[in-house]
Order: sequence, then structure tokens, then C-alpha cells
Amino acid sequence: MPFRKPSPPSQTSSADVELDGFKTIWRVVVPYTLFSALWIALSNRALALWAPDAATLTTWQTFKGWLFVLISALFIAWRLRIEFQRRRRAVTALAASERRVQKLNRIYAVLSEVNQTIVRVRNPAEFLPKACEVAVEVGGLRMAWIGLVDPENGAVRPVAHAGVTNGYLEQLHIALDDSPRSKGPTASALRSGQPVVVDSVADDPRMAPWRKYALELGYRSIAALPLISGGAVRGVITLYSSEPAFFNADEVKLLEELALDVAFALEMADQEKRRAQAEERLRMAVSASAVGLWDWDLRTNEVYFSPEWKQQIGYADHELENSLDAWRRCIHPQDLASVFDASGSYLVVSEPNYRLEFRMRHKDGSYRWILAQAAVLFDECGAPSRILGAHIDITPQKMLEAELEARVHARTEELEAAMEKAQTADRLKSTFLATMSHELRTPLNSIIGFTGVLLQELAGPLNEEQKKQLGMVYESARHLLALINDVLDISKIEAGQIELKIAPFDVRSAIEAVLRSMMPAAQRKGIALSAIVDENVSEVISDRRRVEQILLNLLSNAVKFTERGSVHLHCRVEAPMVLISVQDTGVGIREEDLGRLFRPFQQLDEGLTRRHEGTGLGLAICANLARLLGGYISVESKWGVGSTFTLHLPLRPPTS
Amino acid sequence: MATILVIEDNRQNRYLVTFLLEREGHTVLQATNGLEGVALAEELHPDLILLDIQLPDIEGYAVAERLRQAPTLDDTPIVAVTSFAMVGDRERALAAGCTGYIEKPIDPMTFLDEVAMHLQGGSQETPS
Repeated sequence: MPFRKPSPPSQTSSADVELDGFKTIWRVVVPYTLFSALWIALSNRALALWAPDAATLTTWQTFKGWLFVLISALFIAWRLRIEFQRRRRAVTALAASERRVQKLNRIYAVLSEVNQTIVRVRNPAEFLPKACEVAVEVGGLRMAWIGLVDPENGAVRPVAHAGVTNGYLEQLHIALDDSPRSKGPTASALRSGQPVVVDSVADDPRMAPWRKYALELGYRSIAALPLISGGAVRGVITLYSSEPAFFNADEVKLLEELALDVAFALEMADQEKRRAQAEERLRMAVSASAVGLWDWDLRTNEVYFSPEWKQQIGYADHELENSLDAWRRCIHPQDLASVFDASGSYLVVSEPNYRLEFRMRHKDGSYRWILAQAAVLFDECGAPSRILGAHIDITPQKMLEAELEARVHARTEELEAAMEKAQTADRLKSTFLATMSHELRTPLNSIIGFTGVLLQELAGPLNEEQKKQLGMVYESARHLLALINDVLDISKIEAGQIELKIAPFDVRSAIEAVLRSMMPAAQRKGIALSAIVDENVSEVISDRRRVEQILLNLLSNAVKFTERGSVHLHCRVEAPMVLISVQDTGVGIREEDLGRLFRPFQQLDEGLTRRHEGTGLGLAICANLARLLGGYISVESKWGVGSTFTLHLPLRPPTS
Repeated sequence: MATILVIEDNRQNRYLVTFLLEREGHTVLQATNGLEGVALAEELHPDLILLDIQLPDIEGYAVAERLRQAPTLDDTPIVAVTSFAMVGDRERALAAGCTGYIEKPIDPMTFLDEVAMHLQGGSQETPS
């Protein structure tokens, strides 16, 4: 509690006054006794010393008694006078002190009653008027009002008042500029954040704008106290007394406490309001999102289900009791174990994300899919004390999922059927290829065979023209056969019907074999054919026949497209690949043509097609074979300068 | 001179082979399908059998296997003559019992040399 209990003011008790009266008696009696004793002891001796003769002595001794009475009477009168004066002063001071004490006590009572009010009544609309009322009634003030700062324009708006006002507040018109209406106690307190006291409304220049009416209403002194919370002045409580100079330092100190408590209450109320708003927003959000909340106290096994929780499974709030049993009854029997297991395991291993999907029986008997998420609260000993959780109805999503799954299933079946069909088609294609291979080549074989027989004059002599023409038939038939072979080859590759024979072999000997078979063609064209195989090149694991096929093709292309100059083969290891490049000084390839180089039936220069033998399938076949072997073919070329084709071949098959 | 059985369904090819072989002075027996070839071989015990792989009735591989099973033919050279050049065909032919393999189209110059070599029991093929 922020409300400090102010210590009651010190007071002068009446016992002090009694004691004072007692002292007065002594203050008169003691000096009198001392004086009398001195008189008795000294008066005769003094007289004897002073008197010139015995007669005079006797005369004076007669008067000495009377003299004593006179002097002591005068002495007592003087002492009493002093004492009575002192006593009067003391009584006056006591009365004043008692009035002050009463005043402070009243203000103290105001403070404590306001504090009680604040604690009891949280709503500022109620406790602010109550505070004013208490100030007036309990504090004996003429009037009290509370003004709050309007956050929009900074103006002070009276929100509560009590006592005699008679429209005084309505014509206050407190200004915040530099005008006389901004110099009053309320505005000053507001500006300075310090209490401001006007001891005399009648004389204080700051009261000029309001003096007349204030005096009419009986206001004689004023105290304005800023309400400060969070370091900012939120408003002012201004108090009016019918007594001039009513507000002294002690009163102001107490009233400051009052202002502090009121300000604190305002702040609390604000926080409460914000909290209530946040709660309301949360409640609305929860209600709008249809999230069902539950709260399980693990120590008492009490559970709470929010209305939304129950609504998800079709129950009104009162139709389902808040109990673990009710919960268990609603969970699908098959999911029961997993739900409570999950809660248990969550507690045991403190999984960071409790997240579970399960089914709950709806009031109508159907099952709803629920997604539950929860968090555990721990008590001060670190033991789990509560689980707070949220349920979301994910039945629609589940249905979509199921539908999707069904579709996927159907689609998979379709695909499987299509696959089977494709496989059948593949087998048919394979058979077709084999048949075509046979059917096309069988008659061609006859043509080539018989032409050969005739050309070799095994069936009789021929004249020169017949030889020439038969030679052309022979060449054309050979070309046709090569074409058919290549087409079948590439079709087989594309149909995946190439079987590879992967085995270790010596690259060097393979290259030598290929070079040997290319040498005659190179020599016929007068082209230098050379090769360098790096020393570290030895064995690779691949399909020798296919590697040779690729190299043969690259070399024969190089020789074919080189009119003069050289063809050079270089073989080197760049682990994990072996690189075999074939460099020529031939026509080269234009940059724009590089892209279609490896496509079937693309001999680049139409003009060249006539000059250069070939099916246009060689590079496509090579590229496909290289890919099957886990490698590839790269090419660098400059038009008119020459080309370099490089086979990149893995030293061992990628799968091993 | 030898007796050579040619099992070949294509008339033109059969004629070409027969022409070349007879020109060399060999006696040529002709069969136009696999079963006929097996029957002729068992009956007449040729010195060499030239076998086409793709035949109308049974595959050349099957023919080779049957010929090998016949006790009197177990050492007769059988040479597959075919344009059926799928990968593995050569291996299959050898595995089925053929001793050699000649790829079509036939080159008249080398064909007779190869035949002569097989007649002498030599073989450039080794089963793998």
C-alpha cells in the first residue's frame, strides 16, 4: 500500500498546564520563605549596626515588623503578577496549539478517509467527488475541487467538487498563457508541480481575477496541490478555507500526501482501465477466433473450460461441467491415451511446444478435430502447478487434408497406371526398335552385299561406267546404313536401352587403339595426328567400348572438319575426372551455334553438309553416352581457328 | 571343301551367302527357319552352320542351344550372322553356344576368310 500513515502532530497536554500552576505556587512561596528567613536572621543585626542610639533602635524595632509586612506584601504582589502573566501566556499558547492540532487532526482524518475511499472505490468518477466531499466535511473546508489536465489541449477540466461553489468553477476560466488568469494557485501548481498556497484571498495579487466572487463565497485562503503520477502533473486538487492563512507548512505537508495518494489512485485506475481494455480485447479476440481455453490446476485437479471451449463441441456453458471427467468423456477413446500421455510427457520432459491433435465428440455425436496447444506454469518450488491450454477446431482443415489425401491417392493411382502404360509403351518401343533395326537393315544388307559382289566382279566383269555407278550405289547404301545405325543408337540411348559394361581398363591403350584406327583417314587428308597422355593417367572404371566410341567420334569429326593443320589429343587427370581433349585447327564453330551443337541432326553449316560425310548424330550420341557414363563433353571453339572438344570422364562410376 | 548349313529366312541374303560359298566350292544346305535348320543339321551333320538370329519361328539363340544339345553336333562350329546389333547380342549369341559372330552387311572380301577360319576351328571371339 502506498498510503503512508502520517504521524499525528505533537500536542501540548493539559497535564503540562496543571504542572505549570503547581510551579507557580512554588515560585511565590519559595522566594517569600527565603526572604522571611533572611529578614529574621539579619534585620536586628542590621538595625543594631545602623542605629546611632538605643532609643532610635527601639523606635525602629517597633516599625521593623510593619516594614516587613509592607515589603513582603509588595514582593508577593510582584511575584504573583509575573506568574499570572506567564500563566495567561501559557493558556493562550495552549489554546492556539489545540486549535492547530484539531486542524491537523481534521486534515489527517481527511487523508485517512480519502485513502480508505480510494482503496474501496476504484472508479475515479466515484472516488474523486468523494475525496472532495471528505475534504469539505471532515476537513472543515469551504470548498474543494479536483481538475484534471486534458491530454489534448493541456487545459484543466474540473471533474469533481464539493462545498460552496455557486458556479465559481464555471467562471474560473483558468488560462495557461501569460495572462492574469494563468497566475492563480491552480494554474501555478499545475505549472510548477509544487503546492501553491494563498494565505489571504483578500490581499494576494494572484487572486485579482477571482477576488470579488471568492470573497463573496467566503473563501479566505487557498491551497492548490498538483496531482503527480509518473513524473507528470495530471491535475490539481484545490482547497478553499474560510479562515485566512489556514494552510500552514504542516497542513500543506499532509495535503501533499493526500494529493500523492489521489494521483496514485488515478494512475491505478488508468492501469486498471488499460488492463480491462486489454482483457476485453483479448476476450473479444478469443471469442472471435473461436479458441477454446482451458486451465487445469494440477494440485487440485480442478479444470476450467471457457464457453468457446464448450461451444466447439456443441455445448452451452452450463451444459458441461468443468471437470477432468467431462473432458475425458468427450475425447475420442482412441485418442484418450495420447492426450493424457502427452500432458504427462509434457510435464516430465518439459517439451517446449506442447502441440497435439485429437478428436472430441460433439454434442451431436460427430467427432471434431481439435488442435491443442498448452503451456505449464510452475510454482515457486519449480513444480508444475497449472497447465493453460487452447483448443482450435481444425475439423475443416482435417477434412480438406483428407480430401487432398484422397486426391493424391487417386492421382497416384492414375500415375501408376500411366507409369505402367508408359512401361508397356517402353517395351513396345524397345521391340519396335529391334524390329526396325532388323527390317531396315536386312534389305540394306542385301543391297550392300550384292553390290560388293558385283563391284569385286565375283559375278562377272564390269565396264568402267558400271563400276562407277555401282560404287555410288555402294556408298549411298553404306551411308544409309550408318544413318540407320546412328538413329537406332540414339533411340536406344533415349529409351534407356543402352547397357553399359563397366569394368576397369587402361585409358592409354584405349586411346592408342582409337588413334590407330583414325590414322589412315588423317594420313589421307595430310593432317598431323598426335597425342599426349600424361604420366599419371592409368586405369579408369568405365565402359571401354563406349569411351572408344566417343573418342572415335570426336577424332573423326576433328579430322573431317580440318582441311589442313593438325589434330591433337591430350589426356590428363583432374581428380575425380579424367579429361581427354581433342584439339583441331579446323573450321571452328560460331559462338551462336555452340548451343545446338549436341542436338541431333545438326550439322552446322548447310554448305558443309554436302562436303562432310556424316549423319549429324555423332555429337548427340557422344553427349548422351558421356552423360550415361557420369561425365560430359565440353567444347571451346573459335570460328576459323579451330575447336577443342573435351570428354570429362569420372575415374570411377558415380554410383560406386 | 565343306558342307555348310545356312539358316536364313531372307531369300536375298540366303542367295548372297549361297552364291559366295558355292563360288568357293562349298556345298550349301539351306533352311528358311529355325526348326528346319535344326532338323537338317541333325540329319546331315554339316561342317559349319551359319545362323541368322532373327527367324520367323524360334530365335537364333534357341536354335543354337538345341544344336548344342544334339550329341552329334556338339563340336560343329556355329557362326551367328546377324544385323541384330543390340548391345549384348554378341554376348548372348556366344553364351547360347555360337562359336563366332559375323555382322551384316556381309563384306564379300572378308566373309569368305572368316568362314574359312571358322571351318578350321579358329575363333576370334571368346565368350566373356
